[in-house]
Amino acid sequence: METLRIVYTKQKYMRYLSHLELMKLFERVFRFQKLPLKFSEGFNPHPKMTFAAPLSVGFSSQAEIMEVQLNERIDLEHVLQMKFPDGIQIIKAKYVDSKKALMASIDFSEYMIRIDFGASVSEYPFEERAESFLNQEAIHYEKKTKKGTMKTVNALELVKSFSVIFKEENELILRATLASNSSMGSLNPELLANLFLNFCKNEKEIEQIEVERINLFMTVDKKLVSLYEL
Amino acid sequence: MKLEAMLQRVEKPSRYIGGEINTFNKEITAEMIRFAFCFPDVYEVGMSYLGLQIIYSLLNKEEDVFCERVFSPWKDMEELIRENNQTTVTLETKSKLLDMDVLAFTLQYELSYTNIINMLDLSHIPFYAKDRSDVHPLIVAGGPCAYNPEPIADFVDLFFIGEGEEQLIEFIEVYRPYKAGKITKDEMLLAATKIGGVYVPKFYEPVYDEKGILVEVNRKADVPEKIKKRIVRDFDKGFQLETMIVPFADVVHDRAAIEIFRGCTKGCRFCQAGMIYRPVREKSPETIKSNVDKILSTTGFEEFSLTSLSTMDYSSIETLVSDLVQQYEKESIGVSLPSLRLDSFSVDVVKEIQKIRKTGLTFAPEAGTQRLRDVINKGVSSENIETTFRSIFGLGWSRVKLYFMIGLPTETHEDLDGISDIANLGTYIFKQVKPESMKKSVQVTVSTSCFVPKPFTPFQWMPQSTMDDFYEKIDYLKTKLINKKVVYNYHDPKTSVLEGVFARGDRKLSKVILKAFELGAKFDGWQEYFDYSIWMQAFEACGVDPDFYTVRKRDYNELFPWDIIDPGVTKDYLISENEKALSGVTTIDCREGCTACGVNVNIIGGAC
Repeated sequence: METLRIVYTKQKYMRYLSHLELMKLFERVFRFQKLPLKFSEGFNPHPKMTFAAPLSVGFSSQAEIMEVQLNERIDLEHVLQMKFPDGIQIIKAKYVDSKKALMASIDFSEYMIRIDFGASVSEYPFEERAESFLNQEAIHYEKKTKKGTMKTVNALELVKSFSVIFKEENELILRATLASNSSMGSLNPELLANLFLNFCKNEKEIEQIEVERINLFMTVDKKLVSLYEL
Repeated sequence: MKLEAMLQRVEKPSRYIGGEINTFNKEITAEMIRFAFCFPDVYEVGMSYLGLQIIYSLLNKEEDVFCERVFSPWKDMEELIRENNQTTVTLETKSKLLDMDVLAFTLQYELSYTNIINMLDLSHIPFYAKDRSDVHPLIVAGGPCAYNPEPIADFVDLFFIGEGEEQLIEFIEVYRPYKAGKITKDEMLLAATKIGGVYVPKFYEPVYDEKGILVEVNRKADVPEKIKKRIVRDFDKGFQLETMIVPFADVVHDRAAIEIFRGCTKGCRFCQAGMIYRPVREKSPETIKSNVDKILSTTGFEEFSLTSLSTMDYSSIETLVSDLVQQYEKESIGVSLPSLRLDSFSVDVVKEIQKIRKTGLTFAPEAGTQRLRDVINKGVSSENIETTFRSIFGLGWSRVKLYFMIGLPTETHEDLDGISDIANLGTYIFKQVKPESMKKSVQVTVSTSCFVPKPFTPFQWMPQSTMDDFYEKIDYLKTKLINKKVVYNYHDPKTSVLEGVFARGDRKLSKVILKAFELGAKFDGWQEYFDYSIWMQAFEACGVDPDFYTVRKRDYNELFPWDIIDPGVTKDYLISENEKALSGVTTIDCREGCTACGVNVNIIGGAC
């Protein structure tokens, strides 16, 4: 058995695919591309695939990662040339030893968050406010648990880095590296943007918040490694 | 607000994005004929329709035609479109419908008519054909409900009657000179009536008597008196569907579909499809296998279905299924069969396919007693039912679904008792024959729908049951189906009564549809949207009595609004079948001998 790891983009209109839709799409492309898929046993056999750190519907990504189990190796050139709908492109493929579950090994995600305002915000010192935002003792918010009860979470504990990288007229771009791990917890970048705008006492109308994931990080030998280096 | 921002706010954005595998994106030039296939329901329903896949593939093979898709936006998207002054757009290029040359609506069920109006409204296109000009797209329609086009005849420029593969290509030929500005819209429409199977309502003017019954139809131009349906004569050699769009979202039928034959020989007297899709034309096993192979190797579907009106009647179904199962088993690709007959033969075939995936079983006895099954000519005997129960439960199935109709002509409470007898028989046989290792208990699900008399069936003269009758029968069945192992579901009579109005309706109904739309009707086929009171208000406001269309008994010599269409099956045949029904005489399956319905003489040409 072989584990094939694929790094791919999820952009343009394809960012609106849900996790389930994305999985089904991959399965079907793999099937008609005749990948030697390994199937689960039982009455409803399905291919063995793992998608790390699912993205929220509507967020785009420059680099997502998934693994699929094959019965035998096939040429990686063939994998790299597989055609997906416009917006999904395979940018890297390799065979890996998969001892550790992929899902569990993603620890952080790095995002660009672009905010469109209904009016100019060029006068507002977002850059300075970002520093004081991070210098707070805690940033509490309420989160619904799986049981349906509410619990208070400190967002700061889930933020690895956060900065304003661009500001012009009606537009503001933030960059943030946030926890996205099932055991450690994860922070939604859109929520972080809203916490920040509340902190800035923003009253300008927000037309749209666009989020793009630009990198994923795993802890390998106690060091953070970007998926581009995997 | 831009489309992207709207997509961020709706529940299922993938309904609107397009770009699925095997979709087209052509360069839009001045010569390109821009065709929009419009399905007046949501994406998940529309993308399950095989006809869409066929027409999309067929038209996009033409170099100067670009066929795109449009579905009804769901409520959340519609609100955003209206709030932001946007319009409905195509999935492929996100173009406005006003920028298209042809909008082609498929008429799959009567309760989607308000959605057609809504799609036009969302695109700022005038509803009535007479209010549209050269600057507007041409509105065309086809599909099963086009066999009675009259209720929406005022809205549509041109109807296609019958199978579309050949006539659509011929229509494009007529359309080209109009697109090039060489002929006027009226000249193009008139030319279209010559290709066969085309109905242009503006050239026909119905005349009604004081009771509202149709007395004659005046022709306003040199057009055929009757519009003969079109069929693909050589189904094995004609256009073959060899690829399909692979849909996103959770579509209703999320699998490849391979048509194995058209038409049906059973002759069930309530069934419109069984009459209008005649004659039976099979594809050869070789063609079917090649279609399956080509579709699977371009789509990656993990399941495919062999579709037809009665798949078990395919001449060599047993070998076909076992060959296909054998071929695709190793790739974990499942085969599914849409409809099963109640007999041991069907069970044998099902045994074969369930090697891969075990699914529930569904059968349709349609009526509870032998007497009533003979009236409707449903060739299922009590013995068939018992044998089927014995074999499926013996093989280890524990769940079965049974479909029945209520309100069939001549039905009595005895026939309803028969429904509960069949359900109880199922639970009883299960206990007798279940495998010893079986721990599960049995579940028999009984579903009833309300009978709607349809045009071009032997029951087209019959009154439909009243709403009160339907409810009384449902309540009666509720008191009868008390066995804990039996689950009872029923279809709401209100929608069936409305369906009954439009199924046998005339041109006077267009104003009712518009009124109901103005009062807020849309997605009438969806329980959560359907509002019966709106419709009653609309009928009253327009001075139209719905009972005129549903519960009135019609004479054999009454001229029907749909008599302008010639489906091949003759009226004499339908009358004789209606008479035989009333005296409980059955008619054989026409694979066993010709029953003289007329389709071979009228459509194929030659002896029957």
